[in-house]
Amino acid sequence: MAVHSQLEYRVNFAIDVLIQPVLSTTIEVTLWMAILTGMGSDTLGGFGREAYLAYALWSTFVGRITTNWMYEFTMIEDIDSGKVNSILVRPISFYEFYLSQFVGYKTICVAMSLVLPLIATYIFKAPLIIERIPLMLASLLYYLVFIHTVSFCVACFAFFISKAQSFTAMKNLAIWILAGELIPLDLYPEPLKSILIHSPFASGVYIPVGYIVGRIDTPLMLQSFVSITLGLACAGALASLLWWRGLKAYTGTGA
Amino acid sequence: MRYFRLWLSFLKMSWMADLEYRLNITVRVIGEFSWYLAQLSVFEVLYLHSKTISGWDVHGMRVFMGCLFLVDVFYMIFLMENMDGISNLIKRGDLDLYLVKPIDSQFMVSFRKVATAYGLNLVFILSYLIWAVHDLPTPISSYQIFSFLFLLVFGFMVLYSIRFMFATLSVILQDAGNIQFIWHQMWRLGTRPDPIYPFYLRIFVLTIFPVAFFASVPARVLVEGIDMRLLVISPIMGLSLLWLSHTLWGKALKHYTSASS
Repeated sequence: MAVHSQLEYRVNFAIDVLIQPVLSTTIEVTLWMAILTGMGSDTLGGFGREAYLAYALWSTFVGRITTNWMYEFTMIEDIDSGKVNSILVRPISFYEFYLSQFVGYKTICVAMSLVLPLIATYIFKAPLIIERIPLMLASLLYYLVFIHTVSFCVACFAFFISKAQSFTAMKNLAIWILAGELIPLDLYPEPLKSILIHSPFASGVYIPVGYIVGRIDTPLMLQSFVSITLGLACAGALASLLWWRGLKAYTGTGA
Repeated sequence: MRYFRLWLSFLKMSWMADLEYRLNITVRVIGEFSWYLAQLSVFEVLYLHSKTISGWDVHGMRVFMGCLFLVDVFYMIFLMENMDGISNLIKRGDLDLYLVKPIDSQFMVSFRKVATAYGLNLVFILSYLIWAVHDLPTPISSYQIFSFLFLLVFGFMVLYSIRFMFATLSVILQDAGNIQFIWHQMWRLGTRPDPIYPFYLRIFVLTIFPVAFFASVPARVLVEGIDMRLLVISPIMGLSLLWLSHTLWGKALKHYTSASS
């Protein structure tokens, strides 16, 4: 369904999966290279220019894959408008319905745009451990379930308050920092660095990107699955609580 | 004067509308503060590893960030909701209502909403900017302050004009949701001082896509001193882009077919 609905508006879809990643990657790389050149140093935090080039190339790509605006807004709108009623009577839960759409959409995004950072990596001769990509993709898939659960929690606020969309912006901004898309997490001073690296949000950008560009090793990558599992358990419990409380407060015509 | 009175009415209406969803406003204000902290953290962390970036020390960079936040908060207060909403006006055919009003339609769609809640952010940012300016190693003169304010006004005019031209594309393309993304990406080039860019990119952000005029050019007057060329170019740039945005809007309206009809 997600594949079909996305392909309905092809120009928008092409911009979404091709032009947007190219442009955001170009800007990200430009900003980082300008900063590193301006610093007049070959290394920053122990890593060279190539390491930052690779990180900038891949963090933009991975960050775009792991972010969730669209389906979170849709879930909020469904609850706000009362459209959720039509999903409640289906033999699939509201959570699963949107999880399948979200994962489906992100899968085609990965399939169509993965080639872009690969080409850029090749052109710029940036470091990349290609055999690590499958494990990175598996980790991203697992992270998508976690991040969808977080989005579901945010959407459930729509049962209790109007305009819950404002939480989405704040949540995504927080994740932007916590995931390491804004700045690699290893540049932060201790103990902030260790706390951030071990949070489940680090699996949104820093750990998968760090893993394929050689910034982190396999044990930390494997540990990220544990972090995601713990995060998923917490977010799942909260989502369940909010959903059942929300349904009790729900009048059937939106909040 | 007529337009100013009308804008005051918009301000009053927006204030009342904002008070209706207080939690929403609170969350948005906190979200904006988080964005400031995120941006500040980038440079504060980078300056832990280096003393200067392209000749700018941490004090100069703090002044630049203060200018950037100031421009950003003005954008949030006066423009953001209006610009982001133009696409929906066209999709739903609501633009018709504004076109038949006896005032300039560009003014109507650009300034009908005011995000009053961000007034709190404005107070915070002004305090931060004043602190950052006081923290500069060399004291600044009153000429620099006047030049800064002068450049800030025209920088904001440049920002408005470019953003409005992007929003105008919605009239021509009907569904230009993703085109707006391009604006947001280009805006990011303006979130760093232009002296850090390589030569050709610097030319690009000062002429072809003049995002450097938003915050970088005004900040340079405070950090590096007065540059007469900027004082001359900035109003020319601001006024010509404003004229261009008005012309483009007029031409785009000729393509408008009204979604509701």
